[in-house]
Amino acid sequence: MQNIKNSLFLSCLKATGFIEKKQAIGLTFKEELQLKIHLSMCKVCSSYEHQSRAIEDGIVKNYKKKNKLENDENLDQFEKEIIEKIKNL
Amino acid sequence: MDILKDSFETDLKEQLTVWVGLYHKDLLRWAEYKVNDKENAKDLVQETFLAAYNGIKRYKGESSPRTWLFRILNHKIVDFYRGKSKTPSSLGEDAAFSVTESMFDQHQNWEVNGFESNWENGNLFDNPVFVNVFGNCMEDLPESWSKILSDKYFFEKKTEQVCQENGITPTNYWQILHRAKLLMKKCIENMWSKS
Repeated sequence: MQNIKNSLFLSCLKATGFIEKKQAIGLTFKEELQLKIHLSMCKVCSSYEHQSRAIEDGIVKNYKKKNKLENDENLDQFEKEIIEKIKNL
Repeated sequence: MDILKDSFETDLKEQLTVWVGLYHKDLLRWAEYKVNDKENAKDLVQETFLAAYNGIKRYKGESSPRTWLFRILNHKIVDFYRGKSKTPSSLGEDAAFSVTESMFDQHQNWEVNGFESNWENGNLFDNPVFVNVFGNCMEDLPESWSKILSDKYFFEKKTEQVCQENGITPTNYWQILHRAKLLMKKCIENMWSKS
């Protein structure tokens, strides 16, 4: 009985890991089922799923906040300068 | 012997020149994001390549050249801020892992802390204080975790690329994303508990 219980029920640490795994590389059929069962019973993990998305959006926003690449012409010059410095070492 | 030495130096320079061509854009984008200043960013990237030339014998090929160059750049960025006495303080990997473990009890279920409902407020990112806290929490992430996040979300690389680039398996990959998000959650909830 213990074995059946362990194979069906995830801990919250495992379940939240599966939430990330699902998003990153996908879950197996069994994992998907385990996660569904867990989320149907655990409010805190359901709430984590929402938080995880919010954190992800925040990370993307934070990275985009001040990211403006110079035009390529300037960068060609920059590249040449570095290569020149290396040659003269 | 001198001829041999010269040809070795020439090979090194050629190798490095190739890397400059391949990676200067990514390195500059990252440096600009981190120091928020174009000229300083350019200086740091240039120093990175010069340091790479001097230290190339220490490069063992365990990670990709790009990852190695980013490691050098990140050290330069830390030095840059140290000079300005505004050191970003990232956690070590082990310490960070322990922090995320502490969010769960002995059965690996949540230690509920009462801040769960704060997340339900849909407009968190409209609050400049929250945005600032969020940015600081990102700085706390261990460097190796932050590297995975930036490859995924800043450079928008595919999973296979991120894994290859950083010498990790797909399992390492989602586990690091998991721990990084847990640490972000913990850091933000800490700020809430203090205010």
